Amino acid sequence: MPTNKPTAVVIALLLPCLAYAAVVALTDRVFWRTAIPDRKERRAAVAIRDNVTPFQKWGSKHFTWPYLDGYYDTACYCTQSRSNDCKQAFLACLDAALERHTEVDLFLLAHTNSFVRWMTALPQERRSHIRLVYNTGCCNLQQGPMWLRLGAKAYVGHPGISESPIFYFYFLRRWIQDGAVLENAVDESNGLMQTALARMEFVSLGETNTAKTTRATRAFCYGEKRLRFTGQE
Amino acid sequence: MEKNDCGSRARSSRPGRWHLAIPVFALLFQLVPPVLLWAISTAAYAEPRRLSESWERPVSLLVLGFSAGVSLLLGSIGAYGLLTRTRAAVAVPLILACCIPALLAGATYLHGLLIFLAWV
Repeated sequence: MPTNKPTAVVIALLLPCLAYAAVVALTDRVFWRTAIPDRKERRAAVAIRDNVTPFQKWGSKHFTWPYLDGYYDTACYCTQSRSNDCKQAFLACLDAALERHTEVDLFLLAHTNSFVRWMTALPQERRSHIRLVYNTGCCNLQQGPMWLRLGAKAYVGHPGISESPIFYFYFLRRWIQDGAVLENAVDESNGLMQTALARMEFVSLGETNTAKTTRATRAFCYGEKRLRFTGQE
Repeated sequence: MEKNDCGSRARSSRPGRWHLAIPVFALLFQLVPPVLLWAISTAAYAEPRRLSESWERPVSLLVLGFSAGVSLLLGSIGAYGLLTRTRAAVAVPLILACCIPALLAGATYLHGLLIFLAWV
């Protein structure tokens, strides 16, 4: 026997809400407080994406850009292509950001990379305005001491052949929150990344090895771990 | 004339099958968003670009919003039609097989859209 209409209406309205709740539970929580933290005028961000598939470039940009554009005074996003490594544009953006802002965050969204070598083109006193460097590159954790010597306050990277995009998805959304502390954002994102990997292992019927991938992906922080998004005090 | 009138009355009084078609359409629609998003990304990052940088973001957000809206609407209307017009033995399997996947996909596009807007 068919369901009566009022009950059917309630079920039909409830199902999309339940579906949204399931998606949120399986991906990431909702951040209702999206107010821009104080001292925005001091902050700038520069991001670079390597030459990957068009869909990966599209996803990285549309996820990253609104956070950089909204939470930093100035933001610049470069996407490399087969014919253009963006070195000039990236260094020009970075140089301008370092000149005008005292807290510049760098997001290196690239497979194993050596952008650190490009930095020697910038004057030392300006490089001291680099605040956080986040690098998705596999095995690029070892660059931490080099970035700190160049002037960065903190460096976050991954030690092995990692699933860093999963970590980055959680990390960026936490780092730009009011009152965020770098170490806490990294720890929370590591935990959520591990849960996501465990789900992937379940769905892939054991194809993904959670323990091994977590070891390779778990991000570590060099430098000032208690750095705050809104400033150092 | 009379015959024609009778014929048209007979046709309109026959119960429609939309309540079975919508859930199937909701499921089939799920082929559309990935194709559209793939097309946008390919056009935006082709060398030379076929979609200008100023259009890339609005078009992407529109496609995500459209995909979310259509998926959630078809999933909900499909579930409503099945619940009100068929027996539970028919409604429940069709809701599970067609409406729930469409609703989950719609919710995914909606969450993606809200994140891409930095609203959540």
